[in-house]
Amino acid sequence: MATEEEKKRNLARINAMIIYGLEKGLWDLFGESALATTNTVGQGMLEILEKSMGLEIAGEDPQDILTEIGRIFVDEFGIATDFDIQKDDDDVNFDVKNCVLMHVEKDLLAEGIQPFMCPYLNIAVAAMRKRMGTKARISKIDVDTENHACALQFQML
Amino acid sequence: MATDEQKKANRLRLTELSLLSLSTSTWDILGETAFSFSGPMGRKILNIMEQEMGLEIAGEDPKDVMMEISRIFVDEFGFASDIEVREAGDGNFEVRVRNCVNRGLTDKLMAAGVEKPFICPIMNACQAALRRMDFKMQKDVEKWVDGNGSIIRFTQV
Repeated sequence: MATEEEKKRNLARINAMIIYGLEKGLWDLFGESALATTNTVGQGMLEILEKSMGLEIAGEDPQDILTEIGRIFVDEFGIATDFDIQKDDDDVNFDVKNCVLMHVEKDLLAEGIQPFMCPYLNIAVAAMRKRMGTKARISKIDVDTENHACALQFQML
Repeated sequence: MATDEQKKANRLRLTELSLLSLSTSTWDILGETAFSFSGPMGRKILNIMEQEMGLEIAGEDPKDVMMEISRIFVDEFGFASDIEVREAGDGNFEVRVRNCVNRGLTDKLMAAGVEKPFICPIMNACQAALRRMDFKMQKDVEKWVDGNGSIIRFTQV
């Protein structure tokens, strides 16, 4: 029988497999249009960060909001070891190292699917939409599985 | 900064939210056709059980296989306190999941309009196994209030 620690890890794996199944299913049906589902997901996640983690959006500088999202991901969620996010005019670029979701992304990429449920992208897009009132388009999801690093980008429209 | 335990709890919350949002979006778009996504999820879970937890399917009795899947969910994943597999006559089966760890998530899914928890990993893993053994069976799942879990039914097609 697994220890309590092992059970928790296995439980996390089950959830990751379910997310994999949903992403694969949506991608197989809709292709890139599946990215439209990220709007709802990002909004819900953003609410958690605002209510439970003290993230402030209204009136804050967009770069400060993005930097704080990165800090929360590392310090409060431990989702990655390093997280750098920079806003450059209408482009928002992320560099993420050692994301705990890397194995899900590997499996999706092996099937030719873009890992569009990336929480960083979804939450950051939702935050920018709320702060600046504009839509966004995910423009890059580059996953380097060998070096456990991701380079992501979305564009404000 | 959060402790490691707090980080794990925060990650679980975030994953559950991803699951909730993604499942709700999928159901909103597809309705009961969302069950078509259950196959990839179930197969993935089954593969892990075979490769890492000693599950054997070939040449085994379907009830025995489902009992072993259930044991793995309890002992290795801590997914429920107890899972009972019963024969329900005419080659049909009933799987009773007591104190399911995802009961809260499933209640939220139903409150969000997802009529059936098509992401149930126990149902999906069992059905993937039945399919592998060439048993064509319809599945259904309902809330089991007294057991704080679910009752999953597999009926011959």
